[in-house]
Amino acid sequence: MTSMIGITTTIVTERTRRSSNNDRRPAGVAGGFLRKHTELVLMVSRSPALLRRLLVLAITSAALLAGPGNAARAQVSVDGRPDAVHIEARDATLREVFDALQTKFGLHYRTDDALEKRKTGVFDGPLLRVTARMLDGYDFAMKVTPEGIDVLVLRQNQADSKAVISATPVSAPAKGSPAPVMTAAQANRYEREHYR
Amino acid sequence: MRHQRIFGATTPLLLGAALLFGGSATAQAACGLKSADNKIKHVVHIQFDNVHLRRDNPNVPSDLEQMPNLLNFMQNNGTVSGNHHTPLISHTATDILTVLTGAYGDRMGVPVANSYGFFHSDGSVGFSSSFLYWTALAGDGKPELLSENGKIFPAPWVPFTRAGCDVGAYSIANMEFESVPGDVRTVFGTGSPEDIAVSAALNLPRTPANAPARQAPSTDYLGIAVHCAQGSPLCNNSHARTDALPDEPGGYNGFNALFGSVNVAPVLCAAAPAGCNGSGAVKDTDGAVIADAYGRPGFPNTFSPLAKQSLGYAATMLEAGIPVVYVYLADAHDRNPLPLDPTTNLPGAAHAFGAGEAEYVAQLKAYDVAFGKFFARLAADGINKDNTLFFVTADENDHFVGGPASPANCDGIHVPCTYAQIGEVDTFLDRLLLTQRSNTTPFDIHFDDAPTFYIHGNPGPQDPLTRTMERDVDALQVTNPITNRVEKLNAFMADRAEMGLLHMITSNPARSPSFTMFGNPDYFNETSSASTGLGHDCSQTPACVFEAPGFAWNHGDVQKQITRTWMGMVGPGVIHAGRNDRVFSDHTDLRPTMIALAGLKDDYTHDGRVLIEFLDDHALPKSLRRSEDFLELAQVYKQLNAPLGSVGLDSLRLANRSILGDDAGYAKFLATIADITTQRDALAAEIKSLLEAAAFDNQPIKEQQEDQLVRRARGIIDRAADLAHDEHDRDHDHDRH
Repeated sequence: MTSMIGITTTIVTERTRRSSNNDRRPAGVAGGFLRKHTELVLMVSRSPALLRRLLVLAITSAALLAGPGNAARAQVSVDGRPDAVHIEARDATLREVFDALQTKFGLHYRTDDALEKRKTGVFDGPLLRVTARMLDGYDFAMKVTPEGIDVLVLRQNQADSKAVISATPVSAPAKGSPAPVMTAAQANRYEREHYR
Repeated sequence: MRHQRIFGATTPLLLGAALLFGGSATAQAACGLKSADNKIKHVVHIQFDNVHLRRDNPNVPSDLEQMPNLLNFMQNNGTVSGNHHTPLISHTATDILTVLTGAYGDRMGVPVANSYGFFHSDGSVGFSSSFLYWTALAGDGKPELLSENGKIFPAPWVPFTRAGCDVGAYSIANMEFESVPGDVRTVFGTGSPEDIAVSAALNLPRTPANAPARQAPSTDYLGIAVHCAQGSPLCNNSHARTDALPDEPGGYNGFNALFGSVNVAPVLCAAAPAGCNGSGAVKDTDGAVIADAYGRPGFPNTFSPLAKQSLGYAATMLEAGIPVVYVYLADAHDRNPLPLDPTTNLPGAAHAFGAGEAEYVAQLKAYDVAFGKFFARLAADGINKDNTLFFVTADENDHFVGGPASPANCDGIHVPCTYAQIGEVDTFLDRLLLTQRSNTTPFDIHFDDAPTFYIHGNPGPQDPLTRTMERDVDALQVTNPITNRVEKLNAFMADRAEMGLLHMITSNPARSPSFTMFGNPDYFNETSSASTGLGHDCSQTPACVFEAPGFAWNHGDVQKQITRTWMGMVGPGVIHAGRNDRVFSDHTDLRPTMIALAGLKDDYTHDGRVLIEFLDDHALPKSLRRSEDFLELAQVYKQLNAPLGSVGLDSLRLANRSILGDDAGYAKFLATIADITTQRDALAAEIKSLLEAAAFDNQPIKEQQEDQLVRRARGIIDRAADLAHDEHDRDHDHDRH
């Protein structure tokens, strides 16, 4: 019991430190032990070399979190290991696929998109690569953390867009931006939608 | 739509372990309130929006009369005053921020609400919301809560957290996030994962299908915060962020806070699971999950929480060991919640009720039930009037705009009232000025029944543009569509000099309006998009004057019906005076009274004073016990310095007549009002320092000192009254000729 609490507290502390606003240094620049050694922000790239290096980290991290069981839904089957994922999807939404990956491999994802794009086919490969393939057409970013892979999916991008946004800021958070300036009519509309 | 939390399902387990590790079932920090005999263990501040103590229809019981669980609790166990006032302008954000700080708008930065204009350097005008997180920068690039020194005004939770007490906030103004993505950026940083996720959702196309996703950032981040004491277990987890207050006097380092439901709810539910469902969502007083219109748990809507929601959250916060809780409750005279429009999948059009309408009565009944359950639940938790200080108030009263109730003898309880006409009368001031005065001077206003005017180019008070605009605005007359009477829009006009006396001029001159028209309260004044009339006189559509259903309760103005509100206090140190209207007070007085009872101290001088008339001598420092000197000085001080005190109201009468008179008379007024304001400010500063020293530093006021200050105050009060009276007589005589 004592041991478990001790471990838990350590993890909490590390998380707090990492996400604290006290740390205004650029991410990845001497941002503490955790940031320096185990967290890597991926500016998603088509570079195979970079992907290979990241993959090693991803596998290492994700393997620690991958638990037993396969909770794939009816239209999605997920199997394998983080370095050799096997997905069979039949008209499954991207959300269903990601839910299955989350259950099987601890992949964390965040999005405000409905992820309703449907997938059919068999997908094999390392988790990171398979995930990236699944997200073709979306703006997204990935982050490898001690807890696993964290994916931020923004939205389906434009046909010719290759824009990618990092899941964590690559420079110190810019604070103190003034509130948006409104016209009188906009201010009134905002007030009335604000109700108070 | 999902909006997953970064750390997912392991969070409750980690939190639970962390809280257990903290060694307390309720995760309470070592809260060191220093009240008399250490009786006060909790502080609960309940802030209503526009809930009335007085009746709006003599036959229909007032809002509070229809909420006996609350009214009786206050009257039987403490004091309720109906002689309590707002600042000016009398509008929600200004009023609540005045309550929270004990300072008028000139010192805390927001004298105009719920948004305000400011001049750009080129003389053009922009607007900024009055609701932003405490440390946010406003649209003018200055701190929203702009102190007299140009810094961020000290935050209200600081004395509590420094004393080891966590502070919870639910929908109260500016202690929690008010706006996304702006406040997320202020605290989490621009480009932070939270910012990216929130911005992505807000940038989704405005389609019915996207409505839930677009609402989600508000549900997740707005309206809820916990400001933690140092070392509080509630903030020792991944949900916490630094509670940054860079300008706080004396520094404020080592404090953390939780922002938004996504960060507060997991912590609360780990500490007080009975207040939550099994999935980590906080429940209302009926046991239902507090969720938005689409069923997503979190902040329920855009700052219109029901009593059962606010009180449910407050109870859970208290049960989680948060000893100081601020909550806001929406008014009951508007339909709430608004049902979703099946076409847009957004809340439907606003709908206002008249006194005694069945739905209004039903909403008040629900509020009363919620208060009954709230007090019973707290009592079961051992949180009661014997160990808890309850402060309750309403931001402002308001003025009903509509036709008569039917049937004439309806009382709402036995005979429901109905109304053939309900709704404020809207105007387009720029088109009226074009039509009636041929005035096309570009300007903007803050839309309100007391619009603040911003003349483009920012001309000075004596500039002919300003003088002409003031006179033309005063000359506007319209036909009221409800009564068919022809009437003026202006009631009282205040220029910058008068606004200075009324505590409406901040330390940023760019925020100073050209002038304010405290108008006829039946009207809600707007401008068309161009603010110059743009050639669209009132013969064209849309009409320049029209009744707008949906909003029927005007405030912002200066009339007593609006500015005279109420407050209630219950708890250790508060006498059982029941309903007592003998003491003039305003919103600035609540903060020093609360802080004094709690045995704490703010880092600044309040504009208000401790309301010792309603307090037990034993709860006061020796310097205040049976102190007639304090009492006499405090009471005269309010008439001297409060915007709704006698100097404020008399000077407003004088200002209105002077502004509308000839230029020579106006120049004389400017000199006079400047002299009065200078004397008033200097004397008020002297008195405030003595009142504060007596209340917080145990330094009694000497009788000789008090006599001299009261004499000087009465001199200014009498001078303002004489000037207002003389001007009135002169004008009256003139009318007879």
